[in-house]
Amino acid sequence: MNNFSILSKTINGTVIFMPKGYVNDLGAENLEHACEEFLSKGLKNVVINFSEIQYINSIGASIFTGIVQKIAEHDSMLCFTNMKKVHSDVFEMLGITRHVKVFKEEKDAVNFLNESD
Amino acid sequence: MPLRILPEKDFFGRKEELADLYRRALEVEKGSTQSIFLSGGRGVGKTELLKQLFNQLFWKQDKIAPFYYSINSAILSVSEFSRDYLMRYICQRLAFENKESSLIYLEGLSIDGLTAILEERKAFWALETLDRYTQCHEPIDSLRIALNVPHQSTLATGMSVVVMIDEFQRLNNFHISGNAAPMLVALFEMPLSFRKAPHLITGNQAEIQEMPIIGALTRMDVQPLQLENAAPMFSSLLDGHGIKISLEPHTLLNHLGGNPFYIKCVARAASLSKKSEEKDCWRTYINEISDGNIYLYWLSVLKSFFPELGKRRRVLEITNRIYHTGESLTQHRISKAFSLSERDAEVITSALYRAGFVRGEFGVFRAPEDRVLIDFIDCLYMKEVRGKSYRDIKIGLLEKAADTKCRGTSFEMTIPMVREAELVAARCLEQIGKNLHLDRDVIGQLQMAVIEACINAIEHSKGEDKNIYLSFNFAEDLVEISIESSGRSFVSQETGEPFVGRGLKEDAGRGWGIKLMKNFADSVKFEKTERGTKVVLVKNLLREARINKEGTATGE
Repeated sequence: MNNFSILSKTINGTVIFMPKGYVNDLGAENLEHACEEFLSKGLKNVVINFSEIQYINSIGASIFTGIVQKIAEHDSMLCFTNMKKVHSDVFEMLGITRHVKVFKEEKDAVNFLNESD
Repeated sequence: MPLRILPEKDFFGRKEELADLYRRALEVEKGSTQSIFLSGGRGVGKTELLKQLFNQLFWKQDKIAPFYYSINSAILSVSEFSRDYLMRYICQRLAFENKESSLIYLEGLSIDGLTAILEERKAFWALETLDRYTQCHEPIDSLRIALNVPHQSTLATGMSVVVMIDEFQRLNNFHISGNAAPMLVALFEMPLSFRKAPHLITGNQAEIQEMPIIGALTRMDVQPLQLENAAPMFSSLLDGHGIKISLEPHTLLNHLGGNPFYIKCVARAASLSKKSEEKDCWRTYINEISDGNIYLYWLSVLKSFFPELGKRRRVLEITNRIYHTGESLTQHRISKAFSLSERDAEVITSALYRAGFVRGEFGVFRAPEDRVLIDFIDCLYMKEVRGKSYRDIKIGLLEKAADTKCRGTSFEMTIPMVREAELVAARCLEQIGKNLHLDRDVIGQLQMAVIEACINAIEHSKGEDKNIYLSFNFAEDLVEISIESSGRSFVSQETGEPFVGRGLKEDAGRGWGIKLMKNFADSVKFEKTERGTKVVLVKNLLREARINKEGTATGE
């Protein structure tokens, strides 16, 4: 089935992922691999824009802990944006939001990261 | 006869079907129209549809002659039937030519009287057919002449015909001098095949489906009315009596299942009671199924299929068991449960099926979708088998009605245990939520919980049944969703809670599934069922609205 896809773009050294569809185990693993790829290229900041995410299941959400861990290992920064309330509740429950910056809009995250650099 | 029909403005929700049939009728001249079996449940409006079609064809065009005939239980001797069918056909055919509807209503006309009319109008094709008929003394040959008259008239005059026959199943009771001759229905096979005189047949679906001519017919279903048509129909019927009743959120109309006959019965009784509140309509409905026209209608069906008084009590017990056992019953199980011989069980279940009381044409019987019929049987069972008083029955039905109102809208679905099937359930839930104007966040939370419950069902399925059964019940302030599957080992016998086995611990995130469900629903229950395991999620919408309101007030 093909209920998941990822678009990405880079702005001033920040990679922005726009995952789309259903974040289950496969979807989250795809996202994890994409993050690893960009981190290995030396990009430091990662933004995940959730606006096109329709559903997340518990397995998909828990794989995000791996993403958070890898970002920390690379001494990088991870931002979540455009989250629906139900999705932010899920990440809150899993304790993931403690390790990421959450912004309402993608541009807010990009501005924040630009100013931090 | 045919033209006692509803005014067009009171004929609700059948415009498309009527237009389709009318269009097909006009195409008869091309010679490509097949004979049709108009199927649908009792009271769904098949007869009225035929009558409306007859009316339109009769008055709105001149090329295709309509013929409507309703099989009369009192005219089933082959000789009498042939004569009646032939004479009515000729009268209606002449009536159409001259738009002279009075000819349709001619009753008690003798053959001599008809001959005189035909001579006066120089209808030679009809005179010749009538002459052949009177010369014939063999009942079967007479029947052939009668059944072929539409085709013969088409050949003689060039004018095609649409033959509409209602209550067709009654022909199973054909007889010659008192000797049953049901197989004579097969003589319809040839007339049904004539493309310039196609037949439109309707009646009791279950019985017609078992008749030998079914193979010669194309089936066309008449569906129950949608709520958007049932509601104005109900209001219009009451408006005629100067009564207005608000039936929001349409729990009663939903209960009536879009069946125009039920809607008419309840509206007529409500208009007589002159009460104008919804609760009065429920009382009216209960009167209808326990003592009113709906009761009389179904009782007459029951009696016609089970004329022996002594058998009816047992039949009620069996029907009640089929309705409330929660699963399909085989004939064998019925015979064992009621200590009946296989033959007796077959006779009873077959008659119940043909009468429309149960579904299951392959020997496995289950309750019909018609909730009114189920209420009728419940009511009769309580009275005749359990010996309950009329008052007790009414109280019981009122409680059931209150429960129905409480339940509000419900949906059921079955999904296969395949990867990402949970998305199908989640998307359905989204649409249901939109239809019911539920808060988007609430829908999102329920979707999360349902997705987790479905994934659990898929992971822990043990049986051969690879389906997940979902039921969504929406009351005014409560949502209850159950997700049932064959996953027996999912729930601990001691605690009733799901146990976290090795698999759960090993799979990253699976322990979170239960936590997510509990976080997004107000209550999560795990039940062992006959099928396996059922997860029941309950969400209180009032509580959610209060939380959202407080959240908004505190600026969260």
